[in-house]
This record gives sequence, structure tokens and C-alpha cells, in this order.
Amino acid sequence: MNTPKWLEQRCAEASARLAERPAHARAEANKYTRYRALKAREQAPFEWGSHGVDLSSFSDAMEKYGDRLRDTVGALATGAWADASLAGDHAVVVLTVATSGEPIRLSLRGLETGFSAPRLVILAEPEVERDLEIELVDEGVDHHLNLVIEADLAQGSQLRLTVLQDQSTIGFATTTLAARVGRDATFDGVWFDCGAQMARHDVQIDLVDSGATTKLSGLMLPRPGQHHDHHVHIRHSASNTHSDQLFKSLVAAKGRSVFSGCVEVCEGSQGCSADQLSRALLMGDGAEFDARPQLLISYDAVEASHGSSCGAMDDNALFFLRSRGLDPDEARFLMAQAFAGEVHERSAASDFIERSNSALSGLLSSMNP
Amino acid sequence: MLSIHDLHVSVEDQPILKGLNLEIKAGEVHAIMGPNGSGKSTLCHILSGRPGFEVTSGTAHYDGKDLLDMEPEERAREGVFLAFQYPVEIPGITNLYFLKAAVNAARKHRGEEPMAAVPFLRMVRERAAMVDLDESLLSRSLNVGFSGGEKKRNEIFQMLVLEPKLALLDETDSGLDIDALRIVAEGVNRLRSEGRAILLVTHYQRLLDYIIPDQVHVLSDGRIVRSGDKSLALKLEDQGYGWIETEASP
Repeated sequence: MNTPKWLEQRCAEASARLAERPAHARAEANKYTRYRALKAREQAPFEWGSHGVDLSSFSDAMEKYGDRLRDTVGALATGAWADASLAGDHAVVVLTVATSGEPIRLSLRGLETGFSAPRLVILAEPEVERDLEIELVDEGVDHHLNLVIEADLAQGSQLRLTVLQDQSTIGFATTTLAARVGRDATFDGVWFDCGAQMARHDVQIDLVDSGATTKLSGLMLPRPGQHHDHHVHIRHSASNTHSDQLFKSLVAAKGRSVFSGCVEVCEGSQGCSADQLSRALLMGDGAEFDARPQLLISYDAVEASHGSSCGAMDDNALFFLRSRGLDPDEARFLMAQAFAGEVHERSAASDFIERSNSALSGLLSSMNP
Repeated sequence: MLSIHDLHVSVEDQPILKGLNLEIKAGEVHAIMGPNGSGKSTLCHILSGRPGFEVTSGTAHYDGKDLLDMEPEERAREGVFLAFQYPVEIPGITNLYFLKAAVNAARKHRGEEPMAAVPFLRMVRERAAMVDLDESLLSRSLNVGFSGGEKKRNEIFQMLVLEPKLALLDETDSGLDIDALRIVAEGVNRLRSEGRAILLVTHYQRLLDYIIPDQVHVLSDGRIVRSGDKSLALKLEDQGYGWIETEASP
């Protein structure tokens, strides 16, 4: 099947935008991201692994879902890294969530040194309820995975996504997730960042119809020299839509994490609620956390809150645990686990949680060589 | 069991304890009373190993060992327990989870195997009942959302689970109503035995109606200036500290 005209046009537009401004160009929205570590890379192979579902090729999916794909592919995700995926000759796969059932597990693996930009389109049918778990890994090579996910959630559907970024410490990850959440539909997303030299996630949620809801969470665990970065934009474009964000970072000495979260409530969107909280524990010298909480409210009848905190572990609590016989490392681990637990609780992917806990343990060990 | 000799302690170069002497034998209960700022809580902190306090001179021996040379966790494993005046809230760590870790840390120190889940649960339920602590609080995050009384009862519950040899109670009675005070006192009395010692820090005589001390000491300006039996506490309740401070001044 030939590439449809509308997609050709979107690819051309993305190329033009990139030519004018490369993905890693300095810009206000990128001011905290360590793009200088990124360099131009040749395209390199990657592979999708799937469990519990078959991924469809774009051409196969077009035969059945042509109109819906036209409204989704290249139409939802915005930004330079989304453009970088459209501009090149990169594979698009489609996941249709047509029935409720067991969790779907996808694994995306960078195979060789270089750059890859897989694109995943998710079409959730009305009233289905499903967990989707995506693992980002590599073969221990300097691979830059640039994953773009565009998800269209039909009325009443519920999609719960967990992303585990567990690349090698020489790898890079940039992901863009854009979801259009329909009437009474729910999109929940949890991100665990354990690896990579630099990982940045751009999350764009559009709550387009009444009753649409999203709950987003992230746990970033940068070790020395690592950079983990979340940029979230939630748009409440209909009445009675609800969002909740909880992003936490546990930052080792000389590690860095960033949370930039924006909630936009459009005019006329009455009865909306939006909560946003980011918290960071700085575990050593040179640990850094940058937060940019933003609320753009264009309507009065809404409830919105945001908060951000950053600091060291509570010495009083550490002393309490030690005074009960726990050694300092164990006390710190318990405190760190408790801090992370609030995010872990939001995912059902138990093995991802285990790996996140293991990364947490590694982070604490790295501080006591 | 506890022998403190000429102990001087400073906080941020400010002397707080100025030559404190105290002997507590196994099986005894001692009460420390005294006006605000006299150094009562500092004594508890220094004995439990809280960072931020500097011992400038003097000694404290526990069971013949140099207590001041031990890390807080070593002291705990050796049987020293501090009931906090302001119990700490730790979101995400449940009472049960942390207590199991604490019990097993002490068992490991004694060369014993970790306690299995079933006997551990049976034991903690039994101890929770002793201080009328609602079982639902066991699986809640440590002290989060607890009332003031529940926090204090939780401290005594932890003490009953950990079965220390030397218990330091830092104003455990503050903020308790009469019923809670009686329950907490009963919990403390259950721990009294020939092999254990208890040091109570309190502002009020009323706690000593329920926990009868062997000795009462008055701490003033960093020193013990008067010791006696329970009648001393009654006199303090009646006359305040003024007469002692007058007698103690050079």
C-alpha cells in the first residue's frame, strides 16, 4: 500500500519544521534538558517484542481504521522529537485494544549504536479496559530510542500504561506520548526511569469530552551523571474532566531530574479538577531537581492545585529508624522505598516495580561504595 | 545498669548538661522532673545517640559498656529504647513492616534467626491489645493520621514489642487524657521486671500515680539538684520548682 497523501504531507511538514529548528535546539521548553549530550546518529535497528497481542502494520490497520488513523497519526503528538519520528523513514505499528483482558506487554529494544524512532499508534475501542506495559531497553550500546506513542481512547475505555525505561547508562531515550481521551474514558500512565544517560518524556494529554480522566505518575531515579526529565501538558478542553499528576525523583549525587508540568483549562470547561504534585529527594552533593509547575486557567468554575517540594531525607525520621535498631543503609532504603511507594502503588506491573526497586537499591548503594 | 558520671553536653556550643550524675540499677524506675530548659530531653537524646549533641566531658556506661561510643542502632540492639516526645510520622512505611525489621535487627544482633511471620503477627497483636491500640493502625503508615494519644500509645506498643532492657520515656504523658495516660502507664508497668530499668522524663506528678518510681530526681540547669522518693514529686506538684532552684543556687 502506498503512503496516504495526508501522511506524506504531515511528514513533509515535520521535516520542514526540523530543518528550521533541530530537535535538540535551545528553547525555553528545553532549558533544563541536557541536549548537548545528544549527537547526530545514523539510523540503527531496533525490535519490538510483544506478549498478549499482535501489533499490526500501518498498511494493514489502514484498511480497517483508515479514518481514525488519519485523525491520529501525526495529528496528536507535537514537538521536535515527534517530528523527528515523522521526518525519517521510520516504522509505524498499530495496537488495537478491542477487548478487555490480561495486560499487554511490549518490549522495545535498541540493537546497535545509533538512532531509532519507532512509532506506536494505540486505538482503544469503546468500553474496553486494559493494562499496557512497555519496556524500553537496549543491548548495552549507545542507542538513542525516540519512541512516539499516539493513543486514541474511545468513549468509556480505560487504558492503564506503565513505561519502564531501563536502558544502559550509555543509552538515550526521548519519548513523546500523546493521548486523546474521549467521553468518560480514562488514561492512566506511570513512568519508571531507571537507566539511560539521558531520558526525556514529553506527555501530552487532551481530555476532549465530558468525564474524561487522566492520572499520571512518574518515578525518576537518576544516578551520578544521569538526567531524567518529564514534560507534561494536560489540556482540559471539555467540562467535567479530571487530571491528577504525581511525579517523584530520588536524585543521587551529581544526578539531575526535571519536572515540567502544565495544566491548561480551556474556556467553558466547567466542573474540571486538576491536581499536580512533584517531589524530589536530593541524596548527595551536586544532586539537582528543576521543577516548572504551570497552571493555565481560562475559566472560573474549576478546582486546580499544584505543589512542588525538594529536599534531603528527613534526619529526624532516619534517627527514629536507627533508634529502633535499623542500620543507616537499611533506614535510608526503607525511607526511599516509602517515598517511591506512592508511585509504585499506581502501577499493576509487579515485575517493573521490582526492577524499579532494584534500581533504587543500586542508587543508594552507589552512594556508599 | 546505667551509670552516668559528670556528663557535660552542648548543643551548638551552648552547654545544656553541666555535670550530671545518675545511677540506675536493673529493676528500678527513675523519674526525672524539672523546669523547662533544664536538660531533661537532652539527657534522653544523648543516651539514645541522637546526632547534633556534643559530649564535652563525662561518661555514660550501660551494662558496663561505653554507651556514648555506640551508634544509635547499636544502642537499640543492645536494648536501649527511646519513646519519643514527638513521635515521627513516616508516610509509606507501615508499623508492621518497620517493626518486623526492628525485631529482626535485634535478633540478628543476638545471633538468632529472623522471626517467622505467624508468631510475629501473633506477638504484635497481643502487645497492641495491651495498650488498646487499634489493630488497623498496625498496617497504616507509621503515625500518619494518628491522633496525639495514638502516637504515644504506638511508642509504648513498640517498646512492648522490642522488650528493651533500658527504656527512656521522654514526656510520654504529655498530650494524653486521663484514660490514655492510664493505658500507657499500664503498658509501662507490664515492662517492669528485675532485669529492666526505666527512666521517665515528665513534667507532671500525675504519671507517677500510675507508675510508682523508685527514685525521683530534679534536674535544674543541667544538673541533678535533688533526689528523693515519690514524695518529692508530690512536693514539686504542690510547691513548684522555685524552692529547689533557690536552694541550689550558690
